[in-house]
Amino acid sequence: MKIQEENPFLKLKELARRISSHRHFMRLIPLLFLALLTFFFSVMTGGRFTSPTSLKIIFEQALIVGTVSTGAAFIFATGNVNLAMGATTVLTATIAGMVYNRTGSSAAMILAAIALGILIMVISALLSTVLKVRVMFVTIVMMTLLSALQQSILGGTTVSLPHDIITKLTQMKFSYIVFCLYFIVSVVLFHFTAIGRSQRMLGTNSVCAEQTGISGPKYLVLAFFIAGIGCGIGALLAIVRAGSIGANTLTSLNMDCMLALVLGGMSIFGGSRSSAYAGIIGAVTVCILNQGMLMINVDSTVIQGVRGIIFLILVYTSQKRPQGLPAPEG
Amino acid sequence: MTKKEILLEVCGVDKNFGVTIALNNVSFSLERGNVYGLIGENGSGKSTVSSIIAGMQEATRGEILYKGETWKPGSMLEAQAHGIGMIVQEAGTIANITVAENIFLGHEKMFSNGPFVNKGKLMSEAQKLLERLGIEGLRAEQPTRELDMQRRKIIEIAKCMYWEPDLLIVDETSTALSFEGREFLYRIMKEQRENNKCVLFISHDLDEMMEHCDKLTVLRDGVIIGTLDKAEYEPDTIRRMMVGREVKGNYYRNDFDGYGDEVVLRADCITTMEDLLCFNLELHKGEILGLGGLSHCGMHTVGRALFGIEKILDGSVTVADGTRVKNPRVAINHRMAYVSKNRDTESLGLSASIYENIASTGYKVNTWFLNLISGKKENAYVDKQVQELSIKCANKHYNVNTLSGGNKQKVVFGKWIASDAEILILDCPTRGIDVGVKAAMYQLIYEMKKAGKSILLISEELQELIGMCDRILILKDGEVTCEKFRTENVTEHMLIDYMI
Amino acid sequence: MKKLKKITSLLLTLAMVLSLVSGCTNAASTSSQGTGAADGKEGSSAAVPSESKGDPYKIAVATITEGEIWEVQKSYYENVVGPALNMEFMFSEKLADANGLVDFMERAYAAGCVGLINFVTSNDAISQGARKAEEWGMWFVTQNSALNEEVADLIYNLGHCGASAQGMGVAYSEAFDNLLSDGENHSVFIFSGAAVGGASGQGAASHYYSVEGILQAMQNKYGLTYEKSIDEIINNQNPGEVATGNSDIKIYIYPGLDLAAATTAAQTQFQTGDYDIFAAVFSYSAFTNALSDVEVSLNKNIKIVGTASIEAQTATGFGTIDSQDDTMLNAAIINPLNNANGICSIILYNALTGYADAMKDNGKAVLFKVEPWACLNAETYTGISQLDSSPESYVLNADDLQALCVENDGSVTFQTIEAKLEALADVNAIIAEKLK
Repeated sequence: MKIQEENPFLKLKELARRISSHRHFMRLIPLLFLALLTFFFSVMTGGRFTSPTSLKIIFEQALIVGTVSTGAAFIFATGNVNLAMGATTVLTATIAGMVYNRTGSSAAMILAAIALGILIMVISALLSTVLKVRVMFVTIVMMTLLSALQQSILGGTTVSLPHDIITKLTQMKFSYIVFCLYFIVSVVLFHFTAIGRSQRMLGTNSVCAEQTGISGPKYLVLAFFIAGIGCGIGALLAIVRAGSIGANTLTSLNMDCMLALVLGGMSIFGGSRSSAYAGIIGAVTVCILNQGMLMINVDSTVIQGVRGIIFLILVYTSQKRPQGLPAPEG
Repeated sequence: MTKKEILLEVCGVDKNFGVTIALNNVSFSLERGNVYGLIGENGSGKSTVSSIIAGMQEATRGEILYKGETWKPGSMLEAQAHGIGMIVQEAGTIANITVAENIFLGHEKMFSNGPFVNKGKLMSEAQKLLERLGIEGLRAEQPTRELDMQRRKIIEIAKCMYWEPDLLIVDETSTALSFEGREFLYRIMKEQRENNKCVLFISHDLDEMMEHCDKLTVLRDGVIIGTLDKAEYEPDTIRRMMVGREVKGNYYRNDFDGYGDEVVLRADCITTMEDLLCFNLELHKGEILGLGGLSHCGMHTVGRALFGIEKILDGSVTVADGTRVKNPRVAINHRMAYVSKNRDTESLGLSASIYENIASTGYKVNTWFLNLISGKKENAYVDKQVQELSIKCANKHYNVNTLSGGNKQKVVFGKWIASDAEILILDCPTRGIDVGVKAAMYQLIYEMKKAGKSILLISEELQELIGMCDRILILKDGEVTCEKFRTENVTEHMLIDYMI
Repeated sequence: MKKLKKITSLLLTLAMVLSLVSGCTNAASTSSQGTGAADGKEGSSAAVPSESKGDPYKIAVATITEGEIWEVQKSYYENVVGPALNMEFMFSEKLADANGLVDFMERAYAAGCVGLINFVTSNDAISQGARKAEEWGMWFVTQNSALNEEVADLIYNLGHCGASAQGMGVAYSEAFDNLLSDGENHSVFIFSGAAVGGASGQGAASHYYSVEGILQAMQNKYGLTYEKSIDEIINNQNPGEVATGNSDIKIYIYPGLDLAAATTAAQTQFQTGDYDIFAAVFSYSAFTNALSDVEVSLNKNIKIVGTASIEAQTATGFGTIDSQDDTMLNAAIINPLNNANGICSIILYNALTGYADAMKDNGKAVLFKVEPWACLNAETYTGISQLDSSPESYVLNADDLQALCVENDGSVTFQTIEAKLEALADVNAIIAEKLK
């Protein structure tokens, strides 16, 4: 009798165990969390949170960080950290904005942004591979160098683009289009080609990867190249969104990107638990939290604390590596 | 045989390392005036049990009685003070101090006046000991770094004998010793027996064990399989006890087939930063070429250099078509494969899945259009290896670090077999693998040979080389000191002399 | 592992609930002090303001500061302005730039805000913010002392309200007249950001007028003849002495915004013993330690004048007696922040109730100037610090605010508000009136 009573519960427990030990489960945690948050805020605000306007705003706010961190995922995957992504994006945006003001051509601006993003990033990667200095150290130097360069170019002024071109680009949904293009290409490259696979293998064990014929320098440069495109696009999105670039523009972008990646479920050590969509998931999570808490009237001083706690929990759960069960000997 | 006094009794000892059971209910007793042999495959638990007796680690369960009392030494020094000395497997001497200081390492207090050590007294005491043991060609004040491995081993023996132990444990010491060294060790063991003391001798050299031990205890997977008296010694029986089934015929290969004339890989006077100076080697089609020697003889460097990992300063490594192998990518493009001695750190991505590891050699082949990876092809690529190598895993998407050593090695083999490699450089492929899987590995290597693949087998285990190889090269200080072709009468002794 | 997951998911839920609860209680506490109707769906709750005006207007406040001074302002918004004007405020976290402003505006808009008070003062932030607001039809006011002409014609941009730059000059002049009135010769060291452009764009104008005020006060008192025009002197980018035509009266100007370098320079100059007044046309607090060292070593009184806020630090400045038996801070120019906060809210309210045109000068955004207060002694400061601390002592209390609503008095225009601000210039009169 008693056993019969317990049966459904045991079945449920078994089901839960099977779901939680499934290989995709850990990857889904950030997404589940995202859904949970959305649901929570939606209920709390009587549905206002999930109104089209509100959702559009969340997505728009996540776009810049989402784009740059999607690119950064390629670098993270190789087990490296680039601290100069933000500085690269901002400098690129500054120069691309100046290119528009000189030429009046949005095509020239787009080309300049992407080319410059790639150029800066590839130079960083080459500095690391040729001089055999760790990526992190190179990018620390680059970060300082690039922001100094930006400051000296700007010299206290701001680069502003005419309002009409910004309106035009906004109206033609420029940001959405370039983001979607970049995102799709990134996901394909990351998950369905040798490029992403090799980069993850490098991140898992670089010695093993080398001995399996995967060239570390080659794939590192490639990762920076792809991330460079991301910086270029991020710069364009920043221009379109803000209309002007100044000394204080996007100063926290780099940290925001790293946070987004980690919140999106990316392993901080790179390797096999990396994904190209971690960046956008993380970026959206941050925006949802910010917007949701404002909408349910959480005091601004409390917001910071709650956000910190939620980040900690999320990082803790998603950074746990799936262990699986040890296979029997033999 | 008259009943002798029992010196040490091991009663139902268990030892667990996490979930791994190293010893399972092990019981035996040692009587005075005997030399006992403890034999078993790598990982059978023989070193574990001896290290528990000598105070290097504690048992999880069970009891040991020494001279009739419960024995639970806190350290090796404590054991030494109570008359149990152990000569360990690993080199236990420090290079930068003198012979005398090594002998009294940890006991400097005996010679100290306050904070200062009386060096003169220490030297003379050490010299006396060397003379008492009849060790020639060693002086107490000599710096240890000037000595070769064999003499360092002798220092360890001397160090142990100073305390005149009642029980002397000799753990895999003989492999590092030459003929004279061995003779010295055997003499010491004999003296122990004559002085009504006791020896526990651990080795996997069956001949040696049968010759010098009064009784042999066989361990397998942490369990005592049986104890044999000298009269019952019979090599095949002992081997069967060690491995757990009839091994004659399928453990190693037992054919004497030759190999092709075609040279598939050639090292032409290669020089590396360390170890190698103008080293030559030719690997033929269908050959299993063995490379043996002591750990630092340069054989591992040869493997790395052939695969393009180690920088070659001079000379060249070429494959059959004359292409120079400059890096692993060239090697892999010419269907070479390399299994590192350091499997976990070099040959596997531990935090990646079995699937990802095996698939890592197939990015270029498992594609559909535009170089996009085909999940279907990749799955088939991986599944084939998981099945054929019978990699025991609950799920191919589990991380490799959840697997046992043997299965991890199978994954490494799998990724290279999947890539259809023709030349395989296997550096200690059976290291840390239990016997069952080991046999499977040998079978696999042999099948690859039969399929016309060429294999360079680098190993520190001479038995394995003798059992598997068509040709064996013994290295010493980066030079080939001996080349032996496959015949029935190659023995370990014949090769050891060239190693040291 | 399984257990771990269970625990984490529990923790997670807990955190969510906690955040929810803290959010609600917080909202509840503010609303109970405020309008009582924090949210549309809570509209049925009691304590609707005396004249029931329906749902409160949701106003977003984009701040660039946090801490003591900001908390005082927040409490003014929530406790005085909110109930008086039927408003509910939604405060941002500390914002840094245009991007932060736009992000916050978007969230505020999604949360249903109909107006925004912006503290982010860089030109690009004002332009972008005003344009965004225009797009959505969200009323937009900025706290800044200069008008951004670029967006001044937008319909929803209601204008700027900030400390009057000229008023700063008047206040400094007043402070100096007072300091120099003892009949002795005084020499002054001035730290000013007027000659440097850049980030503190807003500072520059007020710095300019402040230095001008000091130079004129010195000239009037001692009959100095400057070799160069006052404009040239103020805009000189190199530190150095100003030729005054009177060897007993020295003036040294250190231009820039680098506090560390300026401190060193000040210490060096004061060590000569030539100077006895230190004037920072913005925050003086970084200099006090260095200057009191000099005071001790030279046994000479140094007077300090600077810009200050109503906060503990200023009270300490006036309350500390230095080694020369004088207060550490001798005069402070204080910007009454809540005056600007009140006026910004009024402008928004008038626009929200349909009188936006009255707040504009022929359709163009107006720059409302808040007159700074010259606080010349500790006694005055005590008075100032007691303002805005209780319902009776608010400079702009509920009645004052309601009197400026066009809704209540059809004759109110932007000029009425300008006149009201001018009337708030005399701090002593205010203290006398509010702290009876």
